[in-house]
Amino acid sequence: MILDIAKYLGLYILLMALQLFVISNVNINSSFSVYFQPQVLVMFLLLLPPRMSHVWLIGVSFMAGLILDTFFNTMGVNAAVCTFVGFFRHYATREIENEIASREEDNKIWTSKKGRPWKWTYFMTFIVLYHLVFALLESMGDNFFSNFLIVTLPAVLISSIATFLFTITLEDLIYKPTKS
Amino acid sequence: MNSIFRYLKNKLHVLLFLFLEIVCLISIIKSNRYQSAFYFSNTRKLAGKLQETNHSIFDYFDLYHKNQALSNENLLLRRQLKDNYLIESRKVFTVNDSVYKQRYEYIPAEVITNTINLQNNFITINRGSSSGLETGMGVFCPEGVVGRVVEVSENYSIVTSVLNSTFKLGCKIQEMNLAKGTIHWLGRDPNFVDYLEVNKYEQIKKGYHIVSSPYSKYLPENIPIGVVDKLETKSTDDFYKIKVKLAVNFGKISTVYVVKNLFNREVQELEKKLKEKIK
Repeated sequence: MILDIAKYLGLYILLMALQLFVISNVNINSSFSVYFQPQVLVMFLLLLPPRMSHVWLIGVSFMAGLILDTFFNTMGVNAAVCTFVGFFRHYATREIENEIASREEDNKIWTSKKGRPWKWTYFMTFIVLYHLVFALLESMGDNFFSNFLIVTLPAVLISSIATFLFTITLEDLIYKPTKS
Repeated sequence: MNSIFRYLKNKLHVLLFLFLEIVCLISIIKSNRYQSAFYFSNTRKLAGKLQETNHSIFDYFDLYHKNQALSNENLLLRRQLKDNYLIESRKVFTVNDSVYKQRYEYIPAEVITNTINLQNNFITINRGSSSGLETGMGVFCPEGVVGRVVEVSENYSIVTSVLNSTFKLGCKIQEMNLAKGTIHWLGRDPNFVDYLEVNKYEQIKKGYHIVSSPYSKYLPENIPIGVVDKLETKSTDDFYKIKVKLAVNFGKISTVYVVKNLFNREVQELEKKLKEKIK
């Protein structure tokens, strides 16, 4: 139990450090920068154990987002998005628990238990959802409607693809299945 | 009664979700106007320390650009030295000159976090109330206008960047010496802002320099903002549609100056008196 908590805490710190020290310092050609804002913390929410209770999942997601808000002066945006993803993620993963018990494989992370197509769909759905809600909340203001098609939607697509590629790569690196 | 409790217990996750989302939304709406001071002052210390460490690491790799910016600024200041000018007139006047009074003081600060890819971008600087910073003060860097201080803790401050959809600033067209219109970022390209409310009958041209207005309360006059890059007019519209290329590359700001208007309090008191009189 304590080891599991430590592992997830380590993953959270790693993702926070990446977001804070690497991604926010990447200055792609300035004109393009509004379209490139991957939010890698979503990986932490997606990998949280499926057997976690719904209330705990929402609480942990909220705290994860709130800490990120502190570092990015986004006052509640990340907390709101993380809580949103945490709440709906439960419905996608609540049935996985039994399957893990019945199928013991060498996979080190539960996301691989249902096969690659499920995993990719699961990742992509919630990553897009995260970026979409984040962009909608973050861009609330005078230019919301005029910017929606020109900035918000392309930014969501580009950032989601970048985050998806990052998530599957990092997940593979950290939790690569051991073959017997 | 028991069944009500049982029902609430069953729906605890939904209630918690709704409660947390409402808390977040209130915080987002509030932060659009002013960020919560309590939350800010308590969390900023820890976040500021970490961000400062991050900044000091990346700052090292940017020394070349920083040096170049400083030497450019030195050059500009050197050009303004009295020794560079020759008095052409042979006549000598004695003028009892007592009209000059210092109006602005500048507080140097280092940028420790900065975003340019959000719709509402903020900059965190490593100076706070202990250095004399107050909310509402203007901020600029050697290249031009950066933004305005919106929140201050003891050692850190948050600045609303020009690249923030809530930021507006009165401007002057330097070549025409005409103080008119405001700049506003529409959240698209971080290199350009829109210059609004300029009548299409003004003889403005591409390449004209846009600087801070003399009527600004928080910035001195003539701080560069950018250069007119695109001009459009519509027969149905009375105003130009102007795109201004920003003088500042917001992705590379490191040293900024916070402007302290020494007459600000006096002006505010005067305005307050006037308001009370009108009431």
